[in-house]
Amino acid sequence: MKQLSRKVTSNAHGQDSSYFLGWEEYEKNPYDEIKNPNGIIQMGLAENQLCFDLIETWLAKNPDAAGLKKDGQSIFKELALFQDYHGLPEFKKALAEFMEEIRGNRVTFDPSKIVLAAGSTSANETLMFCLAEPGDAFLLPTPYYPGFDRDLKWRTGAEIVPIHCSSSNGFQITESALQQAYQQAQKLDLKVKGVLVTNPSNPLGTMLTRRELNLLVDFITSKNIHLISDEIYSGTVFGFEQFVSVMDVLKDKNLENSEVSKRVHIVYSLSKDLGLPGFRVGAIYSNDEMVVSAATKMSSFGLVSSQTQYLLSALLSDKKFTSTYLDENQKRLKIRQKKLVSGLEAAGITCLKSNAGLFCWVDMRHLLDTNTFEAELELWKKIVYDVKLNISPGSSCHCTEPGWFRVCFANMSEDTLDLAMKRLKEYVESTDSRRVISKSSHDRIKSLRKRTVSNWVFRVSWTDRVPDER
Amino acid sequence: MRTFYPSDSCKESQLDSLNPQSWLQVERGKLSSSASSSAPLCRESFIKVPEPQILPHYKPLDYVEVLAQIHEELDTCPLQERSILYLLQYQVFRGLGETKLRRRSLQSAWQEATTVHEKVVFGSWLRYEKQGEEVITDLLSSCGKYSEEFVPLDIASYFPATTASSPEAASVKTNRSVSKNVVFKIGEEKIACQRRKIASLSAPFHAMLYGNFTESLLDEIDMSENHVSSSAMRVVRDFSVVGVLIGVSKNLLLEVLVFANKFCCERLKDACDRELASLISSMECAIELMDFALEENSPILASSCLQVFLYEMPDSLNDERVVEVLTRVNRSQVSTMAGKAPFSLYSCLSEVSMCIDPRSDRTLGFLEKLVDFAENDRQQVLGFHRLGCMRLLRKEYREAEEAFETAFNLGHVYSATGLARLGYIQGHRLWAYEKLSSVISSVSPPLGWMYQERSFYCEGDKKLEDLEKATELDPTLTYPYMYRAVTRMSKQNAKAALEEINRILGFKLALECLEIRFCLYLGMDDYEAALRDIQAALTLCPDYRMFDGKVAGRQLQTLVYEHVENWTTADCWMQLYEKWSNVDDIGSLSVIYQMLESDACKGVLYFRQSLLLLRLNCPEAAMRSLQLAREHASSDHERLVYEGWILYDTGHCEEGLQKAKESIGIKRSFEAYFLQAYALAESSLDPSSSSTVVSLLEDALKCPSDRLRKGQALNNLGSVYVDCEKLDLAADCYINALKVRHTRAHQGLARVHFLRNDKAAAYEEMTRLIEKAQNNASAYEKRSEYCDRELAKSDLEMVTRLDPLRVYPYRYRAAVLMDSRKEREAITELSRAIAFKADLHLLHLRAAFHEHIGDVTSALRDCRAALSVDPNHQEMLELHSRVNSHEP
Repeated sequence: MKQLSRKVTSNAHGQDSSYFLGWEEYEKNPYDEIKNPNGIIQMGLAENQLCFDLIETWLAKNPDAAGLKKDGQSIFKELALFQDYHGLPEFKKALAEFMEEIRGNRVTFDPSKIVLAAGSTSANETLMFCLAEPGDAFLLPTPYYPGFDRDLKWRTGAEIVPIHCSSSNGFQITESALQQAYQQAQKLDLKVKGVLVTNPSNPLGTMLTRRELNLLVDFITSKNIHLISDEIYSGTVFGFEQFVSVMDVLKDKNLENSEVSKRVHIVYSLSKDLGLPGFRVGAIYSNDEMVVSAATKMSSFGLVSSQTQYLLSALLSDKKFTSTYLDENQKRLKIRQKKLVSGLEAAGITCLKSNAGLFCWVDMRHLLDTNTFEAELELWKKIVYDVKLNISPGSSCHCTEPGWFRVCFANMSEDTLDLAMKRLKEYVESTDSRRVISKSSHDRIKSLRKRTVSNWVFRVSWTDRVPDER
Repeated sequence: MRTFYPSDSCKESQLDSLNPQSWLQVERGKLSSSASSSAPLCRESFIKVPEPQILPHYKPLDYVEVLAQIHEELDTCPLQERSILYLLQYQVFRGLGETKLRRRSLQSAWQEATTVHEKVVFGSWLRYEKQGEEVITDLLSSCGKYSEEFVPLDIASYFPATTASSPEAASVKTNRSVSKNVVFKIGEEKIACQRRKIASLSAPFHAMLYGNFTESLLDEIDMSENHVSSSAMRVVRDFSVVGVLIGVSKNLLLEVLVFANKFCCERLKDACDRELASLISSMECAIELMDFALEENSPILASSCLQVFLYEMPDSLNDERVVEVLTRVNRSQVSTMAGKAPFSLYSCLSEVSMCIDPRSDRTLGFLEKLVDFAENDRQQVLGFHRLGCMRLLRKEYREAEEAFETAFNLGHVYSATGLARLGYIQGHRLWAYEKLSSVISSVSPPLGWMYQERSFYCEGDKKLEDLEKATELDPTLTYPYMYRAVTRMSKQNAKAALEEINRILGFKLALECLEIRFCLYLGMDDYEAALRDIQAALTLCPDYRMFDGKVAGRQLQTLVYEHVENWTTADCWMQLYEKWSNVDDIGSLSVIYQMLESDACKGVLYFRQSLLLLRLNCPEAAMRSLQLAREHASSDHERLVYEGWILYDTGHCEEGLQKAKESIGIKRSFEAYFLQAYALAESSLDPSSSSTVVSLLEDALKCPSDRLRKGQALNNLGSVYVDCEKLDLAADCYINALKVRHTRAHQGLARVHFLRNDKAAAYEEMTRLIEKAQNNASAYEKRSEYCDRELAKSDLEMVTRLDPLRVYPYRYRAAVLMDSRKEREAITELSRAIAFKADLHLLHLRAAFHEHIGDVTSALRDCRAALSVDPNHQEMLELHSRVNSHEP
């Protein structure tokens, strides 16, 4: 054994989970319309490729931004030498305004409270370094983004304690679930330093409700702990309702300049909303000066390059562009999501009703042989190897109920999505006929409709667990 | 729990121990003459079933509608009205007999109180309701947790300080030159004061010293005629300079306050008021000061005295002087002591007083006040109906009629029962019958109590028909079963009589029904069974008196005991094992009662008793037994286990666990491990904790205990294994539990079969449980999950027959109807259960049905009623917000 650190030799990065394993399989045999039409279609990647044309058009019209010019004059030298970790003031201002615009300009963001980071991965980890000692815990509602095990725990030594959410109420956070997670942490002898939520949620594709946000703010107030709200999907909200940020709730509760507000931190990034994960632009927004100052110093470990900042400050300062972009992006996401939902339904599969994100949380419980995670893994393997779709099993997101999968829809063309749905439908029909449940997907959908829409006996039969006797 | 109508304490009747049947004659008061008569003439007819009391509660026709209205008003009303709305909600739940819910409403009324008077009234009321729960507070403090919920308030701090504008500054300058000082002469004494300071005390003083009175020119003013002592005048002088009262005695304060009142010195009066309030040291003191406070219109003092009275309930209400003050006060005096909360105050007082003695003048006095202060129809309904009930008890028929009539005319249909009874008493039986008939025909659907009441006024088949209808509409009414049982007995059909009374005892352990069955068994010479019932009754209520309160139950128990074969301790354990295994909970209770008579290991027995009472759905009695177990624990580690359960059952899981660990620290025992495992399993959803639960239960099984308890532990271990899908291990546990005759393990084993996709075996397994168990309604319910729809339906019909309070069968049947598009019938199926049970799940489903058929108004009503039952029910909240958004 080489003399390597324990970090390197241990599994704590969590990248062995099936979430990543699916990717490896995909890398070996990626689908291509022409070169590899039988390859695996990547549906495990939450990328937003629907609006590149808008950005490209803008770039063509504004050659200065990418050309590192200002009013036709080169500013190459300034940018090449720029390394102030406070970032370009005009970029932070533009970013703050963009965040305000996404929140309907109901709340304001102070650029001096923004810390730039190389993506939200880095932003989240930096916050962990600022808020938790090794061995301290953060509570996360399940299911959650598999990467958090790496981002939050690996290098910082912090721990994640799950807040168990269930399908019975659409995976919403409840007070009792929060309390139970808190008690669980105490039982494990972990000091709870805060709660981290992604809003809108990855992998659920739903926004937190006001009730949940209120609950969270009350909870962190009473327990005197932090709240990190990861809002990197805030620009993808395509439903009828507008996005509600934790900032809205603080404002409604008149807590804007309170002690509590100092314990609320927001993480943002342009990877999802603008579809620029390669640009590595993330940010922390915090009301706590100490956190801002320390995180700014830490950002030396992963800064956003100056030409990226320059380019994006020009892009985001163009209010006409941002408003068109946000509108159009939401429209296209909505259309695409509907396509996925109806495609799934044709295969007799439903999903959690969603209103945001680049993915759906899909219910395949009826396709499991048994109600276990082993069965989920079996089904997942079939879907990756046989159906040749890389989707993410719920267990990788720490979901407590077997049979749920995250399926992404914004990283491929419409044709590819159609093909993916076709493959899935064929698969389900083949298993259906094997199980002699129903002869055609048409029947299955009918029975499904009956069950979800009007089969009251089915709903009533869902009896709760009765406590044991003494 | 307190019973509402304590029985009259009659003189103990002397009973003949040789002829048990003769006891039944106590009923007819013929005892002394017939005790020796050997003729057992038609003994069965001696069993009399008393007509049920009219309940002194608010009982609206459609409680769902009223709860919904209250809920809606709570949403929109100003903050200061919320408390009184919660009080109304409390009254509705009171009428429904929902102890837990009404207490929660009272808690809400207290939490939402906006004035100090409401805080005091509701705080004291809760304190009174929670009497006997001090032990929980003690136990919590032993875990380092303190609750200070209902400590007396510092009333003065809730009153804003008086800042009466001093007349000084504005007008002083305009005055002629007068000397700076003024001397007040009282008798021989002269007290020099600063003229300006005294003038600033009040407008009258200012006018006197600077106005156009002769005094303004004088340097010396004689106050001798003003009933003020020199020492009081010195207090006034000092106050005029420093503005505070320091170290003044009570009597002097009283004098100064009178003086302040006379001369309109607002600030001075306020200061006296506050000082006096702080001096209240005892009940005596409060009684003394209350008169004064009311006389002198001192709100802080009066409220503080009232707080002492209320805080000391119920004892304080046995003090005539307290009652005299509280019933004598006029409107403005009430406002002095109770601010804007007079209705709440007299609601509380009348209710507590009714519990002590409903017939007393005191109760009457409070009820008259309650009626006086009722501000709206609903409050008047409650007041007048209650007043009617009390007048009826006091045999003041004319006044009773007036009160019932008023309540009835205000829309309280239930008050018709009072009118009917009064009519009947006055010989108008037909009129009473017609009264109820008109009520029945005027409402749709009618309610059980209407038919029950009408049955009193008719005979023969008509009577039986009405009683049948009453049971159909409200199976929880006990009278119809009792009447039918006794009638059958009188026709020499003992078996049918028993069958009838068993119908209700199978799901509702009502004392009066146990008493009837006891009598039936006596009549059948089955003393063993009679003993069982009286022992069960005494377990539920140790002071229970039989035969309309004429004979102490204990006495009868002793007498019957002489007529049965006595068991040794070993016999008792055998019997307990037998009955426990047959899921015969009442039988088990009785054996334990008997074992407690001898004094061995009482703690363990009381603990067993509490377990049985929980199964019989008597949580209050179970808690009492747990507390007795704690008192009789034979060792510290045993006591800690009972304390742990007490804490767990009162919602303090963490502390309960702590006690279990402490107990294990002293000695490893079965019960301590079992408690720890149980509390952990029920409080945690985390699958990882299941391994801890498993190892705790394994530890428990290694400790000595009897087979009854080990069977339970094996059973629970099985269910942990089922939850983490280790079906083979689970099956082993259940099979082992069955080997030690833990019969309920069939249920777990059935589940294992089911999970292994063997529905038929699951059904078989449940059938075995149904055959063995005495109480098997829940087993039928469970079995229905393991069969096809037709069988399921018949099983669920059986469940409703055995226990009409179980809600799942109604929901299932309604869902079946709904799926076959019979929406109306589906809703009716739910409504018939909702009529007698305020159940969240029933209301939830009916709301969903209404939503489905697009009846938004009804859906919204059901949502609101359901949320009144459980304000935090998640699915309900979602449905509510969805339905709400439909609203036009």
